[in-house]
Amino acid sequence: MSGNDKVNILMVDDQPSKLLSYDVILRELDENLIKATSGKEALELLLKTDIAVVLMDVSMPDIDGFELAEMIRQHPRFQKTAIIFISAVHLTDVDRIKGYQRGAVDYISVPVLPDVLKAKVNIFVELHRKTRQLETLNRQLEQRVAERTAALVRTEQLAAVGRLAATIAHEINNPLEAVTNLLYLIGKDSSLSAQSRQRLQLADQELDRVAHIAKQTLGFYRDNAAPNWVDVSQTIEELLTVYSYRVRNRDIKIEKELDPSARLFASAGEFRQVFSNLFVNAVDAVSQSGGRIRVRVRTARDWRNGRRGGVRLSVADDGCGISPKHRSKIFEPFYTTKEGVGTGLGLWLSQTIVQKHEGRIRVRSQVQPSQSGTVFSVFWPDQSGAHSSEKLNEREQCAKTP
Amino acid sequence: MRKNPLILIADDEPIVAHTLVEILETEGFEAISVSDGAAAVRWAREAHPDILICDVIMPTLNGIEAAKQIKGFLPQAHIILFSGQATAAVLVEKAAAEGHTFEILPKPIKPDILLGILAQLLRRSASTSAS
Repeated sequence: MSGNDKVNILMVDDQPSKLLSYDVILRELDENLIKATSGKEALELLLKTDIAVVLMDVSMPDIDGFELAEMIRQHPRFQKTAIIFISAVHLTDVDRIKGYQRGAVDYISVPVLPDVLKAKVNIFVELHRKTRQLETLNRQLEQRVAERTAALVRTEQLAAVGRLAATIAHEINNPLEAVTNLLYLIGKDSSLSAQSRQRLQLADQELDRVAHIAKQTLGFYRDNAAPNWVDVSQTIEELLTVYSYRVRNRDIKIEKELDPSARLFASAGEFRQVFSNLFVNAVDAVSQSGGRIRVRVRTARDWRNGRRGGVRLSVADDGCGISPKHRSKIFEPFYTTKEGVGTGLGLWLSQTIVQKHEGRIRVRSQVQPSQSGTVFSVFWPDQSGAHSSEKLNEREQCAKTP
Repeated sequence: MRKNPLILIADDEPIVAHTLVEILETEGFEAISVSDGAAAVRWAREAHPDILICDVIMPTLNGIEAAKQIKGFLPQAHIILFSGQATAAVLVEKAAAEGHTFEILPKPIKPDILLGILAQLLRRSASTSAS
C-alpha cells in the first residue's frame, strides 16, 4: 500500500441519524467512510475489509460497544485496530477502565465536538497508514535480504567448488607428473623384458586416461583433447544403449530421427557430455508419467541467421515442463529443480561447451496440463575448416551481421 | 661455452624434480634442480642456465616472481612455467598484464613433448646467435 491510498473508517451506531452526522464531520478527512447499524454488521464488514479505525457507540441493542470491542480484539487480525467509543451517557472512571481493558483506544463524549472527533480519528488514521508503510518496507527489506543472501550463497558455492577443484588438481596432477616421468625412465631401461615393456605401455595408457579425466573434471573449461570427427548419430546410439536400462525401467518410449550423415568436428567427450545432460533431464522430466522422448539429429543451418552450416540436435519430452519462473535460471550454475538429485551443473556445463564451439542452445517448454513438455535444441556449427581461408571469410561475414 | 645446454629445474616436489633431471641427463642435457623460487634465482645467477623449467606454486618465491627476476639478469634464458593448478594460469595472466609474458604448460606433461619443446627453444636461440 502506498502512502496515498485512502484508508477505511468504520462507524457503528444503531441510529442512522448519528451515523449521518459522523459522516458529515469526518468527510473532510477524505478517507473511505463505512457505516454499520449493528454490531453484527460491523463484524461482517471487519472480516471483509481492512479497517483503520472503528468508531462505535457504546450502547447498542443487540451487541453493545464493550462486547463488540472484546469480540474484535479476540480476532488476531484486529489486535491493533484502533477503537474509539462514543458514549451518550456519562462514563465513570470505572467504565472507562473497563472500556480500555476491552480494547478501546479512546473515548469521546456527547455532545461530539466535530474538531475533536476529526483530530482523534485522524491520529489513528495516520498511525494505521504509517504502520502499513512500515510493514511494506519491512517486507521489501526482508525480500531484498533473502535475494542478496541467495546470491551470496551461490557465489560462495562457486568459489568453494573452485577452491576444491584447485586443491584436488594440485594434489593429483603433481603425483601424475612424477609417475609419468618414472614410467618414462623405466621405459629407457634396455634390460626390460618384452612383457614388462608391454605392461609399461598399458600403464602409460591408463595414466593418460587419469590425466585426461583430471583435466576434464578439474579444469573442464580447458579441454585440450584434440577435436576430431564425431559421428553424431552413432555416438547418440551408443549413449542410448548406456541409458537403455533406465529408460526401460521407467516405461519410457524413445523416438529417434537420426541422420546418419551428421558429423561434427569436436571433442567427442564434450559432445557426449552435452547430449547426456539433455537426455537425462528429459528422462527425469517424464519419469512419473511413462512418457515419450524424441531425439532428433540432422544437418542444419544456424536458426538465428541461417548462415552457418552444422548439426542440429533436439531432445524433446512430454514430461512436466519447466515453468517460466525456472526457465530463466536453468542455465545458471547450481540451479536445480531436481532437489537432492541434481547438481545444478549439467545445463550450465552444456551451455559452456556449446558456446565454446560457437554454437547455440535454447529451450522451449509448456506447462499446461494437457500439453506439457520441453524441447532443448542445440545448433553445433561445423568448425572443421575454421582455419581455411574460405571459412574464415565466411566467419568474418557472420561476425559483421548484428 | 658449455658443451651441453644447462637446464635448471625448480619444483617443490622432489620426485618431479629428480626424475626430470634424470630424464634430461639421459637425453644429453646438463640439469640441476632446486626446490623453491628463491633457490632458483640464486642458482640462475651462479650457473647461467640456458633454460629454466619452473613450477608456479612454490614456497618462498612463486615461479612467476622467480621467472621475472631471472629474466631481469639473464634475458637470453628461456623460461618454461608448468603447473598442476588451473589457478596458476590466472597468475600468468596477471604477469602478462604487467608486461611479463610467460608460456605455461599443464602438469602432467609427457617427457617426449617436453623434450620436443626444449629442442625447439634451443634451435631458436641457435639461429638468433648465428644471425
